[in-house]
Amino acid sequence: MSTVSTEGKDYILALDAGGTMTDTVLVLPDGSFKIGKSLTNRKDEQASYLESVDDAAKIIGKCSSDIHKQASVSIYAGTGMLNTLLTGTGSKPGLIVTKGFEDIATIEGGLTYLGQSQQDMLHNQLHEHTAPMIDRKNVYGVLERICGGTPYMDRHIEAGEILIPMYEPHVIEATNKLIDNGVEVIGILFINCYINPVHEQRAKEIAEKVIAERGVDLSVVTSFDTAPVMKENNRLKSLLLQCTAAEHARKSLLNVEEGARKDGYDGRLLTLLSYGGAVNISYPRLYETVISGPIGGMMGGQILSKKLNLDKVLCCDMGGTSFDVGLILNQQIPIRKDPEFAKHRLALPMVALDSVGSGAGSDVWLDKYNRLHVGPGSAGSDVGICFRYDKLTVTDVNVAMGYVDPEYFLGGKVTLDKDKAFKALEEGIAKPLGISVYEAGKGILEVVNTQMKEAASTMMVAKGYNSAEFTVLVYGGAGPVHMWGFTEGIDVADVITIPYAAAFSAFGAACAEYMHRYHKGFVASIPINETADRKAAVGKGIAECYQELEQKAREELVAEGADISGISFSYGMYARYIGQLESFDTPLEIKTSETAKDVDHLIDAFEKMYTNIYPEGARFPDGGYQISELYIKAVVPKAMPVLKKHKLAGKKPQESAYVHSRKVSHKGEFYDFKVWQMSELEAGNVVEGPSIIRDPMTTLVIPPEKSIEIDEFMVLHYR
Amino acid sequence: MVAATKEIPRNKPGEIDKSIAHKISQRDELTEKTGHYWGIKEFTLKDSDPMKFERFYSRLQSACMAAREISRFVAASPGGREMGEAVWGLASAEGDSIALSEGFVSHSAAFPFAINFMVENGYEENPGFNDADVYVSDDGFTCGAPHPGDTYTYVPIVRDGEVISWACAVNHIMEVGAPQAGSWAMFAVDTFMDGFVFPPTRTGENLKQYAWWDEMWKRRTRAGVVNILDDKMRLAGCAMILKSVHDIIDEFGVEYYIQASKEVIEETRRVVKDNINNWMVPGTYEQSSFRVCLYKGMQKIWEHADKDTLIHIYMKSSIDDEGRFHFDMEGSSKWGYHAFNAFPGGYKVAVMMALAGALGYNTKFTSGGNYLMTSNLPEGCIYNPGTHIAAHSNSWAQMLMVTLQTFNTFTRAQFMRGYMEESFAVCGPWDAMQGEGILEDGTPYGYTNFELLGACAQGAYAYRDGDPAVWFVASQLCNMGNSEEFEQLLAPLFHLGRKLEPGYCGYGKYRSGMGLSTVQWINEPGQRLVASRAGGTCGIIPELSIGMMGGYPSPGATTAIAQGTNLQDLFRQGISPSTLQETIELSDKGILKTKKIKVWKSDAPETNLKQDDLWCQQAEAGGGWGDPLERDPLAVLEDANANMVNIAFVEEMHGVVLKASGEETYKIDEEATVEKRKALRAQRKSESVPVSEWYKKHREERVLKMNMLEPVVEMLRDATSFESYNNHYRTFWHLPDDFEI
Amino acid sequence: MEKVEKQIVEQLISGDISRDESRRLLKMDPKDPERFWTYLEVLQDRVKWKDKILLRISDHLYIVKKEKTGERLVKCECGHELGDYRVNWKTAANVRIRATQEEMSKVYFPATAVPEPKWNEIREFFCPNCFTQIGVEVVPPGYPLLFEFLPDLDRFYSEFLGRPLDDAQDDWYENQTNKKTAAWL
Repeated sequence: MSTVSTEGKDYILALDAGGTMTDTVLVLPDGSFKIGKSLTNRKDEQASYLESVDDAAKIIGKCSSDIHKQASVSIYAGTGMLNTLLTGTGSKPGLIVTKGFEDIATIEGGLTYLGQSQQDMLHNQLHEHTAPMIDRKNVYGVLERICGGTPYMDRHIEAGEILIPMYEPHVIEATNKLIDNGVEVIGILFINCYINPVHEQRAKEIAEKVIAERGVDLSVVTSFDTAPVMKENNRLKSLLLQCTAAEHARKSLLNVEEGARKDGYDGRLLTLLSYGGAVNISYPRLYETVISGPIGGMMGGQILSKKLNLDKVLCCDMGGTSFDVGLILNQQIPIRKDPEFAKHRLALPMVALDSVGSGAGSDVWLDKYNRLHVGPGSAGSDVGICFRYDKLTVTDVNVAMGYVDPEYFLGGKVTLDKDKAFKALEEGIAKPLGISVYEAGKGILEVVNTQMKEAASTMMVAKGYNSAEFTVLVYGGAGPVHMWGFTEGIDVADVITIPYAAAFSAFGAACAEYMHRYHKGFVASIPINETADRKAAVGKGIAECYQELEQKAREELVAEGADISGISFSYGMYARYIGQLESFDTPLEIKTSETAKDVDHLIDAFEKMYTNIYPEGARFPDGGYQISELYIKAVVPKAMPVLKKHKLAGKKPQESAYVHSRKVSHKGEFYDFKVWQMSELEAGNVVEGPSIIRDPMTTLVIPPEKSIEIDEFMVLHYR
Repeated sequence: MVAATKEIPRNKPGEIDKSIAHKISQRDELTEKTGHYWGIKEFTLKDSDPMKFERFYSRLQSACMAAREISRFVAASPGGREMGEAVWGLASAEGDSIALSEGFVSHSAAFPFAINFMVENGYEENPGFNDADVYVSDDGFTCGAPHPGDTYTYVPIVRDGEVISWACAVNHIMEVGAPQAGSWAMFAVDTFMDGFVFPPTRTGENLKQYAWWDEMWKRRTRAGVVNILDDKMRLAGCAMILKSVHDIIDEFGVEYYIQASKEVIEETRRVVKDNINNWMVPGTYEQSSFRVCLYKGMQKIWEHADKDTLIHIYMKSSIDDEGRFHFDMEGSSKWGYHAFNAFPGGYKVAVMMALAGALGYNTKFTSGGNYLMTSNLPEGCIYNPGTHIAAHSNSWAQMLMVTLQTFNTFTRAQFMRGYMEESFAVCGPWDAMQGEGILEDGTPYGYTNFELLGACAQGAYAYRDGDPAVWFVASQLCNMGNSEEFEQLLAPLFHLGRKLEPGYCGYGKYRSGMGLSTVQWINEPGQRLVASRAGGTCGIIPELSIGMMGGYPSPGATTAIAQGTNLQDLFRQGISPSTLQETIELSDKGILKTKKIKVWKSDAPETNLKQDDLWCQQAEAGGGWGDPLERDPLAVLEDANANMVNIAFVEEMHGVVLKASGEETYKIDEEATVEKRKALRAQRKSESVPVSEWYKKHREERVLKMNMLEPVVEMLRDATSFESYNNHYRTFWHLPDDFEI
Repeated sequence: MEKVEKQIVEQLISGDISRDESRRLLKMDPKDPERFWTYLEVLQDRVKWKDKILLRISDHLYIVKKEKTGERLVKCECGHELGDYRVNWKTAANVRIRATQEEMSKVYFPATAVPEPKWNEIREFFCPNCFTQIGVEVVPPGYPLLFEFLPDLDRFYSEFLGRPLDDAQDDWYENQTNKKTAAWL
């Protein structure tokens, strides 16, 4: 059994289990792909997984087990862990922390402005702590101290030196109390352990001994094993995320894997890392996959941006429960080292991604002052009142207005009740507000679209970019339905989507490299006139550290069952001028570091990277240099889907593409929208609005005056 | 403005005067005459094409945001990089801010002071302003900096010889090179002990500093490298703003740029004006605060400064006929030979902090609101010394009280107006430790630890308790930083504790959040290590003199220094103090043995620290709200079960009787609680007298005899040297005309 | 424009309001212009007496228009009257002074946070009828009583609320505290 083995295996399976739909992209040997879908079943993800795979298999006249028997890999991304985090339904954690830091989870470094708009930040009364992931009563201190080192290096206490030996009775006492308090998992975080984990590891041993003696079943997780990097507050968040959500999520992933294996698959189930790349579900730091679902779309976006040679792309993914936006710059996905996510600042490399709680399944409701709200509640796979949900949702509005065809939801698999939706909209919103149903529908869509528009433009503008240089890539089941609305009025270069928009995240997942990333704190200073000997010594240290990380990568990959014969590594360091606090990500072409000269190469690489960002005036070479962290990326080859180039047909779509025409209330007025079949449209076609392009999985709305042009890669340009 | 005006050669006749001097005089004239900024009654650009106008502003705004987002990483001090101790901005030619990044935005109130000074002193002609020049200053007297720690960078944005705008940046540097190491010289007697203080100075051109400038930082401060990097950080951001603004001007044109900027600022002014009208209540608000300055015995060589002082911060606020707020500071202390004086620029920053949080958040945040905040700062008072020699290295220690009084004026008004959700007992704790050292091998360094001002407790709200470590009155970006980072920068200092101090809060029906406490252990101090305390209020006196609506004012800050300890033995027994309180308790119990333990309820002066010494701080909390006897017993129980209060203390404070039930958990004794509350109420009756009685007695025994501490009498003399307060004081006590204070 | 419902304002006053609710009120932009009137309505329902509330100046203190006489008085929730609103209400209260370390230790914690008696005294003001604590000052001895707020009621009602009071007078906004204290000597 292996993670990625290709011989004799013809298919790649990639799935994205969103809040509403579980999409499958089935990649055929020639690189072309088919799409399947099912309604996500949170209670039994195994079932919705198999149903979705089977749905794709049918297209080529097979069933799920035929595919599974011949699948080289199956990648399963989703938002399960994210839900656990946001809803706080994970495991109940206990924490053992350096004595004197017991309030760390309450204080959380005082970061109370995360995720706020500048207006709310200015409004002091709105500063609030994020609800802690742990109950203060389940935090216990242990006397111990380790030195974190200083810029003065050997002129003061060396990094990693033990200052106060750990007082072991504290650990025993704490573990017993935590067991008494009924915690389900124990995390350990000691100050400066990222440099020297010896105390954390010893505490883990002791705790596990106590646990064994007490005969209970508790796992113990150290912050070093979770995120061995500086800044205790961020490291704590990662540790608690691993403790509360990750192990919880692993259970349901193993269940999905079991289903796939019963069905004939003999590989491991893979999922996606928050910084791109795929790993199998035995990956120890599973919390790093917290946003595996949204990541899929971003990776698809990266493939597209390369294909179309776009420098600035804004990815907009509108699914059933949320609207996610992310940037792709110069065809790379920017990685944040300590990202702010769900109002927590984590120690976790993560793509720059923001999320607002408005999706097609979001509840639409009036509060006690008759104010209109969208979300945060969501119908998930129950779609809306028009299907099997008891509250009005955005989809209901789209159905009532006529955008979405009740007869053709999931290609007609499900019939939606338009009248019910219409009534609910009338009773719940229009009447209380004393306006017509169509005005109400118009108003609601304005609210939804504005929320998304703000999220989208903040992503660009708050980072200081000029939106006019961006191409907006729209996908997700509901993306094409709302594209017209949330791009209206923002000044961008182009708006594009794809025929398989609904399954684009799954497509992206199929494009994922099988990749691990390893970071390690490594402190070395190189003063301006450093001797060759010392440089060589530093170089040696770096080389050793890289070897250590490579070794770790090989071991973990083998343990995960990967075939590492074709493994390749790339290297990087975080470096700075001595005195600076922030270290800068410096990718290195090669891991040269054997000689003093090699170390000079590293410094050149740093200077090159630095002057790309900052003006000459911000350089400070006479201060000397300091390396604070090293990392490697390990990649194992894996088959990929390909984007085919098509011959361009004429502007006018072929007869067979036209379905019928339908009355739609758009912005409060009625229009006859022509309805087209996505699968019948060809490269080169132009579809003028008012039109709707329908597809079993989504609906693309083209308002009057607007049009869609299809290019040679079957990418749809909205003009 | 304080500096002398010089004759400035004007343009030849017929030529349009494009000088900044001319723009300033025009702005003042038009604004004064019409009541609208630059006389803007109609929004010609905004109304004709709102989309374009908003796009224009968001371009400016994102230029500033991006400048911070990217350049802050150049920094060497946590304060600058992430703790919100910095801001980047774009100002008009006259110095009014048009757009600002996140950070301590209110420091932008100083921009106009620096520009004014340069213009009034002929900088326009000599050396003259060229595009991409670099000017730096950290002086309160000339550039409006609140205190020398706050260092400003100004880069002129010039088109065809005309200054169109300024790219501005400010951050609080780590070490200012005063006799007392750190970034607030608490014991400066005059400005010559403030540290490295300089008026606006051209330190570079074409976005590059001159070589000598780096040498200045190295030569005149104890943290040259750190300060150089902060200097580069400010400049890097200004460079980005400069570039963006030139792009924006290319796209929109100079005229649009200038006119639209004015409309942006006027828009802010109008929104704030409406806020005052819609949220406030007119009348007279009276508030005072006090700040001790204990120099006696510490300033022997400066005889004129060798005395204790009590600083009076006195504010009467009202809303004038134009609907502007007016803050009358007459009656506040005169300036003195201590570190706590301020200048009008810093004072303006203090007022803008309250404006930002209470009246200015729902609009484009610019200088516009400042035009609705007027003040009376009589010459010679502590906010307008009228002389350049006044030290101001720790103006904030008392000037923050101006922010708090202003802020409390606003939230008191909102309480009366029914907008209770906004109302809380505003307090602004800030504390820090600072000093210098010499490593074993002779390497010298200076440092400041900002953690205790990065995040503070909030006072009680009118309807709920305040939270701990939740805000920083001076900045949007509340952040304590990480212990692991500070320990690297401050080599011999290691945290034994970074916690909430149980019971340390302002009490009332609702309490403030618990205050923070840190315990730092000295390990391998090398040849020398000194530390001193810098911060706001001291334990001797609560921060503000009143608690809200029957609650108690916030407790002040305290520093405890334990020297010559037996820590190593304690470590072996698993014992270590985690808060200041624990240090004192362990010492009282004789477990922590010390050669010397000193508790400072005033500013701890520079103290030499040796191996295994302990430096402990309690960093203030917030004020309470309402009658403590009305506190919900369940809230008291919750605090007790969280080990956040002292059981005996809260029984007397709230009349809630708790019984132990299991280990460290309690339950309420309902009956005993009813009885206790009755008893405490009865006690109030028996222990209180009608104010009329107290008044007569107090007048006889204390006032007429001036029977009080010399510094208090001194303070009253100071205050009554200003006519209006003299009348106020004398008529309140009905003092005979010939009575001498 | 939106109107905040009565029961929400009641919850604000009683302190029963949820964090989500108060956050929503804080985020309201613009704020509900009717709030002041709803506030008065709710407050009037809560007190046992009839006199019309003109302004709530503290948790328990109101400026009311006395029905019989038409005076504008400061009135405690318990019904006790503290006199003309132009006179600092503290002059009509009872006061307890905490002047020693021990006395101050009852209200400040821990010991290291207790103010220094030499430098200041704690003045606790009580309603002479219900003995609710209605104010606290911590000031140096010899310091005058702080007059927390003297409203300009007529300007407030006419210019800020747009509903002038019918009994407007020129001297309604005039500090009369010293007249009262003069009578004590």
